[in-house]
Amino acid sequence: MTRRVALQILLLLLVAGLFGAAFMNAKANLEARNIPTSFAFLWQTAGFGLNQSLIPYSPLDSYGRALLSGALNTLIVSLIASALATVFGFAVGFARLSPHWALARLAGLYVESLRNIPLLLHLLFWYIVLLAPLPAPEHSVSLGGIVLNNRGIYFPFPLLGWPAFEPARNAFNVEGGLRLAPEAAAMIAGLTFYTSSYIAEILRAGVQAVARGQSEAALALGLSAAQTRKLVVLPQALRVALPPLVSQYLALTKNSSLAAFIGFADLMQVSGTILNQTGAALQTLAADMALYFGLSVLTLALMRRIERGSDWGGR
Amino acid sequence: MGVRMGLFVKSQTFGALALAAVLTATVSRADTLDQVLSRGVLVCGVNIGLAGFGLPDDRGFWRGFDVDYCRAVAAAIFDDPQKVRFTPLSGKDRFTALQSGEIDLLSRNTTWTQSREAAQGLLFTGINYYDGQSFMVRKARKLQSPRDLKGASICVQQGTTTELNLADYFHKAGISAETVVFSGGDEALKAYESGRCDAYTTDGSALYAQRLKLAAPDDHEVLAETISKEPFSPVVRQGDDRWFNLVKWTQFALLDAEELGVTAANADALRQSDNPEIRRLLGADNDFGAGLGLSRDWVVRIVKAVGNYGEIFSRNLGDGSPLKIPRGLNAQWRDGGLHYAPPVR
Repeated sequence: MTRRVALQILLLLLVAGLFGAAFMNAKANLEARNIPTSFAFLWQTAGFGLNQSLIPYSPLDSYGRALLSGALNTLIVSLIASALATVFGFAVGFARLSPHWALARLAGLYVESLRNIPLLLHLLFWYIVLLAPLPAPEHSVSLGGIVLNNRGIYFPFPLLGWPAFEPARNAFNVEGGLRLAPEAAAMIAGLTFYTSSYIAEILRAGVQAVARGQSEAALALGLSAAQTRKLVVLPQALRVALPPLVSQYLALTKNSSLAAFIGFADLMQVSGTILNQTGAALQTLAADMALYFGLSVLTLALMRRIERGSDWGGR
Repeated sequence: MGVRMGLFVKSQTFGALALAAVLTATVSRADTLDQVLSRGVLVCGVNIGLAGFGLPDDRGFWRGFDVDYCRAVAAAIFDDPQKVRFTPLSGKDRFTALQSGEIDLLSRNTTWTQSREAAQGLLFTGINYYDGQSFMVRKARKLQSPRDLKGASICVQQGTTTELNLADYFHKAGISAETVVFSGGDEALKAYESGRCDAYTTDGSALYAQRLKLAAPDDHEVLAETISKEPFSPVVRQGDDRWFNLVKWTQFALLDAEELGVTAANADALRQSDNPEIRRLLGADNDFGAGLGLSRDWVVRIVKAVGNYGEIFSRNLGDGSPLKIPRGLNAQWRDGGLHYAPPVR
C-alpha cells in the first residue's frame, strides 16, 4: 500500500520536474535572445483597433482588454452557432428518420454534402454569399428602424455600453445601433451549417440506439406516435446523444479560431496581432490556451446543469 | 493555424539568426569584392516575386527595380550586367542569407530600421526607394487624404506594423474608422473589392501592384499621402568598407547620372561633353573609379547597362510599367523629391 502511494508520488514529482525543467529552459533561452518572458505586456497599450467588441474598447486600451474582447467575440459567436446548429441538426436528424422517402433523402444529402466540405470553405463561402448581394451603405435598405447594408445589419437597440439609438449615417457608414457585421454573420452561418450536419447524425444515432421494443410497447399502451416520440424515445435517445453532442459544442468553439480568414476579430485573430506586435509568442499562446480551456469548462458546466435539470438526464 | 505557423516561423528565424551570428564571425573578414571577382559572378538576394521590384518574366529573365540594382553593381565590376546570380529570398530568410555569406548583396525592398543595423550586423547602403503605408480607395469617392476616411471601413492584412500605423494615424488625426483585419492579403483585397471596405491599406508600392489584380483597376486609386516611413535600401554585411562604398556609390552614380541628364543612350557620347560635372562623372579627365576598386569608366558601364535612376524607375515602376507609380518622394530633389546624391568629385 505505502509502496504504491510512494510510486505514485514519485511519478507526479517526475512529471512536475519535467515541466519545470522545460519551463526554465524556455525562459533562459528566451531571455538570452532578448524576447520578453513575462505577462507584463498584457497591461501595455494595444494600439490597434477592433471592429467588433462586446465591451467598450479603443486602441488606447491594453493588450489584456483586447484579448478579453476577442475571447468574448469567440464566446458569443460560439453560443449563437451552437444553439442554431442544435435546432437545425435536430430538425435534419428527425427528417432523416422520417418515413417519407424524399424528406429522408434530402436530409441525407444535407448531411453528406455539408460535413464533407472543410469548415474553412464553409466560412469563405458564407462570407462571399452574404456580402455579394448586400447594398453599399449609400443604398442601405431600411425597414422599421432596422438598417441593412454590406457593413452589417443595424438594430435600433440600446444596450449596455452601446452608443445605440437610431442608426444614423456618416459619409461612409451607418453609425450607432446594435450591429451584426457580415464577418460575424458569416461565422455564425458557417459554424451552424457545418456543425448541424454532425449533430443530425448524432441525433439519428441516439434515436436508433433506443430499442425498437420501447416504441412498440408505448404504441401498444395506446400512446400516439407523437407522444411516443416525445415521452419515450427522445429522452432515452438524448441520454445516448449527449456526450457526443457536448463534444460538438466544444469542437465548434475551437473551430471558430479560423475567424481571421474572414476578418472576424475572434480570440485567435486578436492574439495573432498581439503576438506580431509584442513578440511574446509563448505567453500569448499560453493565454489563448487558458481562455479556450476556460470556454470549454464553461460549456461542460452548462451542459451538466442541463443534464441534471432534465427528466432524462443523469442516472 | 496562421498564428501557430507564425510562432514556428519566428522561432526558426531566431534560431537562424543565432546561427548566422556565429557564422558571421568567420565570414565577414573576407573581402567581398575579391570573392566576387574570383567567382566571376555577383550573387544577389532579391524578392521571390513582387511585380516591379523583383519577378522573373515568362522566359525566366529577372525583372524589377531591385533586380536592376544588382545588374548595375555587376556592370560596374564586370562591365556585364548579366554576371549576376539571383537568389530569391523570403522576408524571413533574407538577413540570414546575407549574414551567412550566401549572397554578396541584398536588394529586396527592405526597410531600413535602427534595430536591423544596431542588432543584426547589417549595413544599409542608402535609400533607393521611399515607400510608406498608404491607402487604395475608389476613385468615385474623390478623396484627397486618409483624413477624409472618417467613419469609413478599412480592410487590412494582419502584419507587424500595418494595424499599429493605422490606429496611430487615426488617433493623431482625432477621427475613428472601422478596421477589418484579415490573415491574408488576398482576402483583405477581395473584401475591399466586394465593397465591404472603403479603403485597403498596406505599403504603397504593394498597393500599386495589387491594384492591377482588381477586376477594374482604373476605378481605384492609391492616395499619395503615406502614414508611415518605409525607406527601402540595399543591404550589405558590416565589416567590409570597400564593398559598402562600391554599392553605395553605384547608387549615387545612378542618381547623379539622372540629375546630369546622362542616359543609357547618350552615356558614351557625353564623355565629350564640355560640362565638367559630366566629364568627372564619366571619367573623361580623372579616374574616380580606382578608389572603389573599379575602372575609370565605371559610371559609363553602369548607365549603359541599366540606364540612370529615372530610367530604372520608369521601366519597372513608373510610366513605362503597368504599375504607373508616380515619382512622388522618389523624384530628384530639384523636382520636389527626396533623392539628393553626393557629387562625384
